[in-house]
Amino acid sequence: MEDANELLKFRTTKPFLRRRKHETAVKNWLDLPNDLTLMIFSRLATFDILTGVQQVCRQWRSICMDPLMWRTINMCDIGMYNSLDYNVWQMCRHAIDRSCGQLEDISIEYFGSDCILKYIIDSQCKLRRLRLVQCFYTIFDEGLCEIAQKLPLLEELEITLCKHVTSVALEAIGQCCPILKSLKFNHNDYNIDNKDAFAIAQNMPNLRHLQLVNSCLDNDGVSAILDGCRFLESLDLRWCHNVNLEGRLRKMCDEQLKYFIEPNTPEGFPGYKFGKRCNAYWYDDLTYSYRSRKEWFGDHITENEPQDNGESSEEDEEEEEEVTTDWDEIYDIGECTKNQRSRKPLLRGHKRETAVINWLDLPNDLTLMIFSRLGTFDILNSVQQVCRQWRSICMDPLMWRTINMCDYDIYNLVDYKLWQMCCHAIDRSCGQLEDISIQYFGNDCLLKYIIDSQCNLRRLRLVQCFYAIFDEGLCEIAQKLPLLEELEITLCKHISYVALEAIGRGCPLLKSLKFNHNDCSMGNEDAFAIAQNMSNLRHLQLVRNECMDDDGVSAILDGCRFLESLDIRWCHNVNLEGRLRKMCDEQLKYFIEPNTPKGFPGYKFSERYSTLWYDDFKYTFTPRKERLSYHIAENESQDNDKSSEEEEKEKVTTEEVITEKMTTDWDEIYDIWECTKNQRSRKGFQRYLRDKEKEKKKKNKKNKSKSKKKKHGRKEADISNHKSICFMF
Amino acid sequence: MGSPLKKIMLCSSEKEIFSVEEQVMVQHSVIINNMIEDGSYNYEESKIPLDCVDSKTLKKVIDYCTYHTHHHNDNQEDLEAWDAQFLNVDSNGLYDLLMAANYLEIRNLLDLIYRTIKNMIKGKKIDEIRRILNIKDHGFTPEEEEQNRKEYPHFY
Repeated sequence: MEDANELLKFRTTKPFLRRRKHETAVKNWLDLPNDLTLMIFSRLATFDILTGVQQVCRQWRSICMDPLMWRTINMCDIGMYNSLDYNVWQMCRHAIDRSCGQLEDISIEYFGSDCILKYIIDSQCKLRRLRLVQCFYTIFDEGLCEIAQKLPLLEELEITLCKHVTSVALEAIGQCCPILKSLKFNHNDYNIDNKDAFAIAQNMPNLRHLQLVNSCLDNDGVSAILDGCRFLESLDLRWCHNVNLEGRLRKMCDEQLKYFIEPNTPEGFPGYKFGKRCNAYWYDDLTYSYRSRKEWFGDHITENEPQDNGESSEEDEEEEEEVTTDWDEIYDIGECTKNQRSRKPLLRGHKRETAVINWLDLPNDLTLMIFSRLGTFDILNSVQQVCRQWRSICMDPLMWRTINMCDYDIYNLVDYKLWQMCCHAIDRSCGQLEDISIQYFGNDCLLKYIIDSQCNLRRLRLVQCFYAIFDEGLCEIAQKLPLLEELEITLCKHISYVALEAIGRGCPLLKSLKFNHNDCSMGNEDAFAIAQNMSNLRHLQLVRNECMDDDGVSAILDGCRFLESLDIRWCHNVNLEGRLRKMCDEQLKYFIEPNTPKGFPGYKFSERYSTLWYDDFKYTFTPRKERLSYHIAENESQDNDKSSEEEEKEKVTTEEVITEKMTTDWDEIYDIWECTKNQRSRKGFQRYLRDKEKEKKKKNKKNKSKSKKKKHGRKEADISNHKSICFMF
Repeated sequence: MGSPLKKIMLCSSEKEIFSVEEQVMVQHSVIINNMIEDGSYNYEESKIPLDCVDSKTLKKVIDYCTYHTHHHNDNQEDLEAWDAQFLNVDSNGLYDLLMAANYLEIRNLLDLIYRTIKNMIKGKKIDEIRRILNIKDHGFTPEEEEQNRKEYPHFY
């Protein structure tokens, strides 16, 4: 009783407050960041999204409108009875429309037809995975052959219970989808004899996983498949009753495959959800298909030591012995090997006879990982010409997801047609391009070319494209970059707030913006454009924005509520004081102040960089005479540039020497140009200059500089030619 | 999860057995982490067989994991210097390490090796690359090579 009284006392003292506290403690799921919500939704089936989720509230609806949401369209497992009430075909079409060409993975059950395949292809998507399940009599060879050509990136294909699909379609698919890794071709009993098997063996050499449930092939077919698909790791031949694995064939299977399911596997074994008898009329079996694995295994509990599992997951040899004994265990092994797929070939490649290692034995995907870290320049000019195997790796569109044309020494590049090189790389990417970095030679025309490749850029970097990129070009492409997350525009002198506004509107996902040293706008225009149009920004770098002042910073902090890092080094009009300083400290996790010294990490160009490069590039544009009258004095004192990057330092200093030396003698200038192109060591360069000076004195005496100029005329023409290639666009 | 000083046994291709602190391998190797987590490793009896990793390489891998477990608070420069020293091996050694790292799925080490090999290739002439990586049979026909030469003459 006393306890109760105590409790009552407690209650009566602050009941109201308590309840309110409790109320506020309830989490509002709408506060969840949109991208997390999207991750949750994208795991749902399309049916659930369209009929349920998107109607919950306005915010969720807008998330469901995001094309990224529709990379995967899953119209399977709806349940026949459920789907009868809906127009699933229309639903699917609607989902495809929303994907805006982002679609990568689509699964269709019951209502698939040639017509819908056509619709998928027309959406300009790049399918990686296509599943057609139980589309009994509505999908034909013709439809599949027609779309096969448009699926260069297909990696996984399932055709199950589509009764009209034959070896003809398989051949077309094999020829058009070179990177097909997994094929499930189950229960499509139109073919008799080994036609399917031969079509697979002859046209799909890269297959890793193959499932042929209830198929008519016999031993010859299996043998052809094992011969034709040298990389095959798993093979599922359940219920192929014409196959008798004996003698040599059994041995081949054991040796070549990591995971093998035998013809006489009983019904209900995991990996295939339909029953043996299933055909167009079986409605009952549908319910069966929903039985989860656990349910099924409930009947088959065995004494299973965890230690055994561990051993088997590591030792591949044991697997084959244990098949047929214990399904639970087998399933676990299957799961294990699924994750260790890439390992077995490694194991084999490792048995080398000689002590010298052949780097070409390295699995292609590892080689690709290494190459994709290299710059485009290196790949095109050297790597791809080393050997045939490397060349074919370099032809893979996946290799060209990232194109990096930055960080080259400009003197090295005078001889190359960078623009052509870049276009070539873009062509090879087949629309896979996601990340591109361009230095020096970017221009509006190139931007257009990028967009025309149908790519979905996530990252765009334009560095030092001084006078060749304009607001117009950026505004035009901004609409085509719905997925852009990172943008850098550094040292592009014609880009102003106009482009920023267009980008802000066109790229809703933009998270990181670097807008450095583009001194085109006046006042706080840049800052206001950012604040008003880029509300989702997380990281912002505005180096050397001379016109921005405290108002601009304050607008940015107000407009971009999610901002985490801000770099406003060398914005000399910003005085952080009082309230603004406090706001910065509170809102930002990482902040770089205006008066940060040169060489602080995060920005590689030095403070004076622009003027020098400006001169250099002006030199390529302005007529000679104008240039000759241009002098820069007292550069020596600032020689010790503290740029963190040594290369940059060197560039700058050599550049300074050039500008100093630039007097009347044009031959000399070209000689210097040539010299720096080949030997960048500064000492050699200075020695060269000294020699040159001596020569010049002699020359002055002889007054023969004019005649020498003619000799160099051709070289001069060459150089200007290359320049025009770089900058004419 | 076991205490940090629990040991696990790794068995190289030469059947040599290495005993390592559990924490060291769990932190770096995805595969071993999975094994320990799903309880399939028996501390008294199990040895983890690594049939495609020889003793020399395995020892290096263990060195790497141990160092990075105990020194992860060091400053970045020291770690990088140690890494550079660590990867100061011939190309055969590098190949073995890459295979081992890939097999054990040690992401940091993989990334480090990728970067190292990238730097071996970067900016080199074609013949140099062939020499460095010991590629003798490049598989191009003479006509194709001529074509390449025409396209990019500066890199021969």
